[in-house]
Amino acid sequence: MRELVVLMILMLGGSGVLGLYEDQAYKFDWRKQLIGKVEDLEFLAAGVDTAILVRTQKNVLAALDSDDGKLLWRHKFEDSAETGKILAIGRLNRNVVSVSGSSNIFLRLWEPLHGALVQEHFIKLASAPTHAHLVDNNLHFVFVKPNGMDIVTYTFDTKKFTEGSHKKVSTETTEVEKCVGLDNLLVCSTPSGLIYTQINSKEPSKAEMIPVADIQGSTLARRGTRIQVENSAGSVTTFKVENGKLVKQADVTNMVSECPGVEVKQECSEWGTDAEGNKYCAQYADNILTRFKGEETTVKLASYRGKLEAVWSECGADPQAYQLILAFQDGGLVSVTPRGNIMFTREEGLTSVHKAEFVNIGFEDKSSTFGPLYLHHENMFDPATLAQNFINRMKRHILQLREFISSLIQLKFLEKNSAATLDRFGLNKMIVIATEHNKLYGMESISGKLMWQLYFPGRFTSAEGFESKSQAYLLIQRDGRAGGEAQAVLIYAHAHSVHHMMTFDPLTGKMISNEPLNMHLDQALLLPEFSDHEIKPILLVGKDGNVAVHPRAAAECLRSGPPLFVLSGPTNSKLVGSKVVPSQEGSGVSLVPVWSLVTPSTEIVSVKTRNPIERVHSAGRVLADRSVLFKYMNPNLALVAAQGTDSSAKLFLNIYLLDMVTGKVHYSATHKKVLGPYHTVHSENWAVYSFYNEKARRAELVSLEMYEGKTQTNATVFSSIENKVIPLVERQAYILPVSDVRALKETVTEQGITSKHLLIGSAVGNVLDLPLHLVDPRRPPLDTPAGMREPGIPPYIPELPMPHESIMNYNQTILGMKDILTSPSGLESTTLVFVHGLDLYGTRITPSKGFDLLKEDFDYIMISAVILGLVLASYITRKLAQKKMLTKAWK
Amino acid sequence: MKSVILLLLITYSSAELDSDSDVMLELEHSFDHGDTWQTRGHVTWSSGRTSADQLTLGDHQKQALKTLCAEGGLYLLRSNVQQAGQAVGLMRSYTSACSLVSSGMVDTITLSLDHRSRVLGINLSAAAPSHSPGLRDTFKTKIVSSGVEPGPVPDTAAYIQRLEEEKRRQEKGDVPDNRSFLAKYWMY
Repeated sequence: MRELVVLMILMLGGSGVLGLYEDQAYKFDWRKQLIGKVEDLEFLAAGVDTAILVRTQKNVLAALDSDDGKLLWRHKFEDSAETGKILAIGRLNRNVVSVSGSSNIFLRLWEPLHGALVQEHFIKLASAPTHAHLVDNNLHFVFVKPNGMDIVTYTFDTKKFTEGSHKKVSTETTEVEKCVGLDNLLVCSTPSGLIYTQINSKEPSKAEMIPVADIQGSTLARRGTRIQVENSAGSVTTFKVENGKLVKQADVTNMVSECPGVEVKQECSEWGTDAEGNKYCAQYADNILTRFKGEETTVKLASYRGKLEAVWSECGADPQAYQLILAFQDGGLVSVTPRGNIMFTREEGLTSVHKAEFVNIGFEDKSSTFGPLYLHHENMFDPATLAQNFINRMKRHILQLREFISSLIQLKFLEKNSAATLDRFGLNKMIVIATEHNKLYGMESISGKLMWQLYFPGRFTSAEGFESKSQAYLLIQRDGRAGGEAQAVLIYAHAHSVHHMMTFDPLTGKMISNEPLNMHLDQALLLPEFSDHEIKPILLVGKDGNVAVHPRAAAECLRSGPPLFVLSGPTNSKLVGSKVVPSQEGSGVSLVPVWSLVTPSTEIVSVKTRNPIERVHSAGRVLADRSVLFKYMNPNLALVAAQGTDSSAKLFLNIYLLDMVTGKVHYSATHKKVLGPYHTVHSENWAVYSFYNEKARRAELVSLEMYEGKTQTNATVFSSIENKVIPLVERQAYILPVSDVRALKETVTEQGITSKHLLIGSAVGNVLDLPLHLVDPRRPPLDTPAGMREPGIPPYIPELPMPHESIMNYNQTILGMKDILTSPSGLESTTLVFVHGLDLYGTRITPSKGFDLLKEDFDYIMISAVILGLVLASYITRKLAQKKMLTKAWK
Repeated sequence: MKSVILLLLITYSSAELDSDSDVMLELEHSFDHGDTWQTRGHVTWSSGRTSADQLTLGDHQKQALKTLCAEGGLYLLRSNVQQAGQAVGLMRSYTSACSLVSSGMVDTITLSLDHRSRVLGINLSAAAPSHSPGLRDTFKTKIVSSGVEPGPVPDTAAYIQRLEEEKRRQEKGDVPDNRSFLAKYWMY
């Protein structure tokens, strides 16, 4: 037992103190609590203020403050649409009602002020309803059947729940797309028009039909006392209920809201035609027009948000006062006063991050007169380059000194210059985010503040795997460090056209160009930087095998540079490696397939290569007997995970360590009876992957490490083709303390000196910061004598610990976590972390503690006093000693 | 019903291939980065043994290999793979032309097998530089295979056993507390 205790101490002590002090909470991190793109909204009179009750696409039920849009409470239901999807929200007396699920329905009543659960009713339906509609204490389910519609009505209150009536409605068509309820009328859209029926009458009836030309069924919506639907050209048709009948209103062609007489309109400022000749709105107007009692007001939006999708309003007691809430295509929720002023804005598009990248802002102040000063990295030890770099540096320092003196003369140093707050340690980076709601955001990593946003007319489908990846590519061609303009490219599938390439400045959000690619894109790759080119070129691979390099001039570099291999066309069960062959003349490039790997009856779920910016500090590790074991660090190695179904209908996972240049499989392993999600991390000479073990019912993490052996073949250059080393693969499996892993990531630092940590994000919403040596496959058996153990590696215990102080986000739960991003900062000790999901969270962590940072409570006064005192004392003693010597000499 | 079961059995047996099933490679090679392909011959691999039937290289082919080596080019190989009489597909691999020349045209084809011993891919590599490098009339080919191993599992048994042993010993009370005085009473 004693050994175990020692072991525990070793494990805790060896990992360093990870937690924060109490006063450090919220100091280095920030969190944004979001709710998702709003689908339905209701105003609630809760207490003194009105609150807004919303249900969102992310299965969230939330209440917002109607004045400033702040979150009062929220409940995130299950992720899966089957159990978590919110079908309807409503009010019953003082409570809030939500209906969620599909065939198993939960009807829940909530207290509106704090969101406490008052009552829960469970309903088991035979099948999932097409539509659920709440009217006071009646809940109607609509089932679309081949011969018509079935409407089942339930009655409920805070205590009881009773099944009411069944009703059959016969319809002419069965292709019902969307239904909405308007009090006692049920209105559904079909390809040829709208059908409607009375919902509360008990006798069977026939649905009545109102034809609407060119109907866009999915736009059917209830707005106050009206029903509105759009046609494919975007014009609105309005219907009103009169004596239980739906009547078309020819005079209302704008979006209307609950408040009588309020109309909202968004013009289309530019029309486009797609490949099939259909007209669509290419650009909506920036400004929204509201009309109330014949008076038009313009609402100016700070940024372009795409199409206005929904409008809700609340009329106060004063007929002139109303509050409008507008929901836009980009997920933005904007609240507007009658005068057109904006009350609050919520960026809910950030809940659907598709791609995100850290971009270095750079140390230099762009507005200063220094100008770009390049540091030549290639041939660092060439005397000429060294001299050039040195001269550049001296020039820069002289310029800085001159600037400082001139600022002293002009007494400008007293001003709080924004450039001065530019962090010297590179702790602030720009996080560029592309969302699935067609928006690009630039966010400061240090504060989470949105710096810019940019709309793009993209299209995202719910495809998975490699399909979803090819929907948009965010490639950073040049960051702010070089001094010049930063440049990034977003390649996206245009909503009405082929793939487009948008070039923009990732630091300011300024769009440089937006042009269609004349190819059916299969994948886009960022090529490495070439010596004589300052921006990273992009390789575009078409579905037909066509290849292009952007910019075109970069083809020249390809010819002179080292041979380039790409993984082309990863389909579900095939990998093909190709050599990029630039043509002898011109800017043409072609791909020659050189290796292939087929994994029949399995599906490749991920291909993970090493982070291209990663640097490795040491080439080997010291063993217990002081000899060195050299790491096998193949930069071309990738960890490939493939999933398949075996003969007993259980899933299995195949793992391959594959050289992407030669196509050689260095190691392969299979795990039987597993479940997803699978997460992989590959870095330096190690890789880890996690999966759920269905048989043992636990999440497992497997750690692999590759070693060359006791000798190193070639220390300077690595060539996959020439290298004949077969790596030794050390492997070990561990039991994870979290059963539902959502994200797995390694920390990365500037020079790779700092030890690595693994960040494990769980479904509960915490991120575990696990030192990598705990998952080292070389952890010795428990009974190994102390002398035989390698330094710094604790003995093997199958379970990984989860001490509370190593939860990176302490009590700041991150709901609906999707992924973790890490990036090195300018300080070697510090890694920047960005976690996204329903919430966004940014922080910085120091895996080996802040060894290059002064402590926060560092006592500057004390230190200066001591130094000053020492100088003074030495001066005085010198004087005294001189005096003594003098008197001695006189004697 | 019987026929259905039989059918199931047949499909099952075809899915689970024998580990020592024959693999036949119909090799083709290219000396001009895939523009033209020439037949190289057949190589068969059965239960760990390689039998090769490769064509002799013509003078122009040897010349092509030599020039390819001079310009640092790649020697491409593709093969129609047949396993247990069934076509598995066209697989590609390559190696540098120079390594082939320096090894004296001795090469190894590694078959990557999956957990059902099906061929996933082939990998061509030249042998280590030999004492008599140069061009030969035919390739001397060896086939090796690399299979999939079962992935590691957490070793809980040993750990639990150790914990229980520890517990039993403590219950018996025959574990002498040989900690030092300080370790016994000093809690920090």
